[in-house]
This record gives sequence, structure tokens and C-alpha cells, in this order.
Amino acid sequence: MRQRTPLELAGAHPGPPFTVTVDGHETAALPGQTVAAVLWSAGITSWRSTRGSGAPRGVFCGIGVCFDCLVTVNDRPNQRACLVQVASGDAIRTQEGVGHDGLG
Amino acid sequence: MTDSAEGRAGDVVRRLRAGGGWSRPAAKPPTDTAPRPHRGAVASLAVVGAGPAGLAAALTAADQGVRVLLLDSDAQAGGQFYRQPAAPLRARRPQALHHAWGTWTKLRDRLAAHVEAGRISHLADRHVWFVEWEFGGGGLFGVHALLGPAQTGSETVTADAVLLATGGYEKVLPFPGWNLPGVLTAGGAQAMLKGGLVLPGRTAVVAGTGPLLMPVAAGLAAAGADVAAYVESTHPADFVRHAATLAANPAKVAEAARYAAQLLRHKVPVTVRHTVVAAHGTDHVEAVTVAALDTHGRVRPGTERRIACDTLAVGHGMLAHTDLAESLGCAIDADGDAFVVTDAEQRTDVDGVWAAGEATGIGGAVLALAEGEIAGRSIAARLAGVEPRPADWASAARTRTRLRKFFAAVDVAYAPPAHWVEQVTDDTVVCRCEEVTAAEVREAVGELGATDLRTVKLLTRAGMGWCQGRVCAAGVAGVAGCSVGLAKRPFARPVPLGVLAEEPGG
Repeated sequence: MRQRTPLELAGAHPGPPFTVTVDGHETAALPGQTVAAVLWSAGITSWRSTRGSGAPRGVFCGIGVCFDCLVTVNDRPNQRACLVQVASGDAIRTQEGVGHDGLG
Repeated sequence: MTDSAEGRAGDVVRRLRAGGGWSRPAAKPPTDTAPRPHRGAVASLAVVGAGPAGLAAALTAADQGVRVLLLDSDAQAGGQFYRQPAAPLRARRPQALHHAWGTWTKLRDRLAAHVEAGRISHLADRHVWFVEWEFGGGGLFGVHALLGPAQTGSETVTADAVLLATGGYEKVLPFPGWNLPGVLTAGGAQAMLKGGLVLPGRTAVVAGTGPLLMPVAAGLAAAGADVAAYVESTHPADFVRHAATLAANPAKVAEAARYAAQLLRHKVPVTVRHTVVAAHGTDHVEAVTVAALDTHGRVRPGTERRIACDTLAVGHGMLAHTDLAESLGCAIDADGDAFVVTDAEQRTDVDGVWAAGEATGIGGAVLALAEGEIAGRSIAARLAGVEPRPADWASAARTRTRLRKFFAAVDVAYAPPAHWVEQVTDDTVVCRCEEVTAAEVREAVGELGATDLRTVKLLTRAGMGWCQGRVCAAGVAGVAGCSVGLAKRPFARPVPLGVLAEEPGG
């Protein structure tokens, strides 16, 4: 039997999905979702590598305290994926180290 | 609303530019300057945090005619406990992820009425980073907040009194593999589920200790996750010696029974007096090792068992956000986990500053509501220049007494395993931001002679990263064998230098 989803459990009927890009790949997003929720929905659970060992990181605290889920959104590095809501056309990029490499 | 043009937040910048670093105010504000209305206007109160405590205080004070500025970091009121799905997700049944929904709808409707009437300004998306005394003179407070998730700009509001209802966040003690993606706080899994209606994975283990774990496990299971194990390090028998406290709180017992029934219905295997000793995987968690604990809180050799999962939701209790109170100079009790000290009216020892909810000691939403109501009554009376009458909040005071006793028992019963440090291998990263290992902390203590957390930090960088030690302090202190003490952070959040440079007077 197919498991139900959180959207079904809460009776959500969001507006039409739109598209964002994740490292250039088009990805579906729902209005109101945070960057982290979009990435989780796409099956992505890590999107940053640490500046020391290059270890992968994703959501840890989920409420903006730990800064583990940092991500680059529209060329702005170090955004907390658990807080920032997506907008149509957002360019989300995984982030390496301090996040400033390759940015003008 | 914004009064920053006349501000003196530039003091902060000047202090920083002077190179002297941060220190507590040299002297507390004079005690004869009780909060008072300004410019003949209605007295104003700034409430920091729109969770249960902040909401109850804001509503109670507004009921009494106080003008309230309610600042909150989220787009919607409710805090972590009443976190709502983002509005554009248009959830018809948000109550499916909550209990005590009726309490929330009453709070929500009262807030809407006060906002409509202009008695409360709900300032959403405000991340308060600093509250200061005598802002612009006249004994007013200046409350500085970063705007929106982007947080590139700051706004300042002024008020005659401040209520700190800054809430709490989850404590997680380190173990091998806790820094793998897929390992997250139990509260974080719940926040993402309640707010974004998403799950971290398909197969979850919920582990640690404390009353939050049960609703998290039940919520994940109801939302479609396969909860492979619910692993609690304490044992129900540990609570039996608090039988009288339990008997005085039938609602709490019923709540636990309801969650237990939900876990049963979703066929969640419940394991008590066990702990997760390691999470395994290379780029993502693939399994955890769980082991039994003896009655002394030590892992029983040979009991290790591996459970496959793609998510580990873990927590070891809650910690209070005390930064704003600390920088205001309020007394903090830091003998154990730090909390803001308050009196019977929820006043801190700094005139004009009240505190309520988790910031004053962890005790859950119902206690926070009671404390907020008491604070709101006290604030309204004192701003009007009259002595508050405790009889006005007798019912809330009884609730407060009963629940503080209950949560004192919870705190004892749900202590993390006494010997958890033994499971922290030398190569375990204990400070996630700066990637400091347990070996480095042990070297700082054993070979370099560090005896306190501050020295460990200076020697190893543990606690110097983005989170400013909020996540790792308890873990690093445990490994170092010292106490956590006061954090003494200058600001409650990282503030862009551009914001500080633009503060007036800078």
C-alpha cells in the first residue's frame, strides 16, 4: 500500500508548482516551501561541503540555529536553506567551503 | 514604527571599533527608573518571540490597553510549538500535525482581533539581534532586528518595556557519525514537517531522551515515514518515583498515553533504556548502532544492534535562548543548563525587562502560556504605574507551580545517559562548524591544561563558528569535563558588518 504524504495528511492544496534550478537542473517547487523543503522533496539531503574536511552537510537543527544547511541562492552564499522560501526561477547552488569561490 | 534615526545603537559599533571587545554593561540601569509611558502616549511593550509565552503576554497586555509590538523571526505567529504550514501551501487540516489545536485557534483569533484594532503590531520576519537600554535617552528600549530570511538590513523599534520570550532549541550530544547528512535534531524533523510538509527520508530512527521524541516519532509515522525504531535512553520506571507529580498532572499522562497509542497503531518498535552509539554511512546515514544501557547509564557490551535507516532524528532535551537577556545584563542561572532568572511576576532583575516561557527554564507550551499571561498582567499594571495584584493571575500561578514541579521531575527522569562521553571516540567531530574533534578537545584539557570551556575554545576553535557554540557547547563541555557556564555572546545572531556600520551614530 502506498504510504500517505505529509501534504495529504495536512490536506494541503498549494498553488501550481513552479520551477527552480538546483545546480542548473530544473526542479519542481511548491509555493511556500523553503529551499530545504524543495531539496528534500527532490531527494537531496546534502548541499554543502565544509571548508575544513569537505564533508557533506544538510539540515541539522531545521530552525535557523545551527547554520549547517547553508546554500547559495541567486549568487548569494551562506543562506540558511531551512529559512529561505523559494520563488519561481530561483537558482539554488550547492556550496563549497566558505561559499565565495566562483562568485563575482 | 522605526525610530532608528535617533538611535544610539551606534554605541555597539563604537565599542567594537574601540577594539575592546564586549563586556557586560558596567553598571545596571538605575533602579529608580521604572518603566514609564513616553511622550504622553499609550505605554508600549516590545515582545520578542511569538510562541506560546510571547503570544500570551502580548494578548494579555493588549487586553489591558498596552500598545504591543510583537517581533518574531517567522512569517507566522506560533513559535516552534504552534508552527503552521507555510500559508501558500494552503493546508486544510494543519491540526493533523498538532495537539491542543483549540488553544491555538483561540490565540490566533485573539491576535487577529488585536491586530485589527491596532493594539498589537505583529512584526513578522524580524530576527532580533540586540536589545539595549536608554535607547535615544528617556529610558526607552531599542530593539534591533534583522529583516526577513535574507537578513541584510536591520530595523529598530522602541518600547517602554520588553518581554523576552525567545524560546529554546534542542540539545544534541555528539556521537560518532552525528555529522552525517540524514542525522538531524528531532525538533528539526518536526519543524520541517509542520512548516514545509516534508519528510527527511523514508525510514527513520527517533532516538535520544526527552518528552519531545514521542510526538516527533508519532508525527513522522502519521505523515508516512517508516519509523524503524523509537529509542529512549531512560525507562518508564525512572518516572515511577515521581508518582505524586504524575498524579497531579493527568493531562500530561493522557498526552503521553495518546502518543503511545499512536506509536502502537503505526507499529513503531519502542525500545527503552537504549542509546544510539553511532551513525554509519559515507555521504549519508545508512544505519545506526543501538545498544542497551545498564542502570548506571553505561553501554552494556555485546548488546549492540544495527538498524538500517536513512534518517536519524535525535535529541537530548532543550536549551533556552538567553543571549538577549545576557547582553541586557539580566541575571542568568548557569549552574546547569542556562536560563533567565525571574521573580513571581516574571520580571528579570533589570527594570523594564520581563521574561517568560522556555527562556526562563524548559517547561513546555502550557507553562509558557501561564508565564506569559502573568508577565502580561504585571507589565500592564507596572506600565500604568500601579502595583500588580497577584489575585488577577491566581489560576495561571497555580498552573505555573504545578508544571514547574512536573518539569523538574521530567528533567531528572529524562537525563541523558550518565556515561555518554565514553561513547565519543577521539575522531568524533564535536564542534560541527569548526570541525573540531574530541581528540583535540581532550588534548586541550589533558596536555595544554584547559579547565574551562572558554580556554578550550581559544585552543581548539570549538564554538567559534557560525552557530557560536549554541549547538556544541554542551557536547564540548562534556568531553572536556567542565561546565558550560555563560556564553557571553555580544549579539543574539550573526550580524552582517554592513548592518553594524550603518547603525546611526556609528
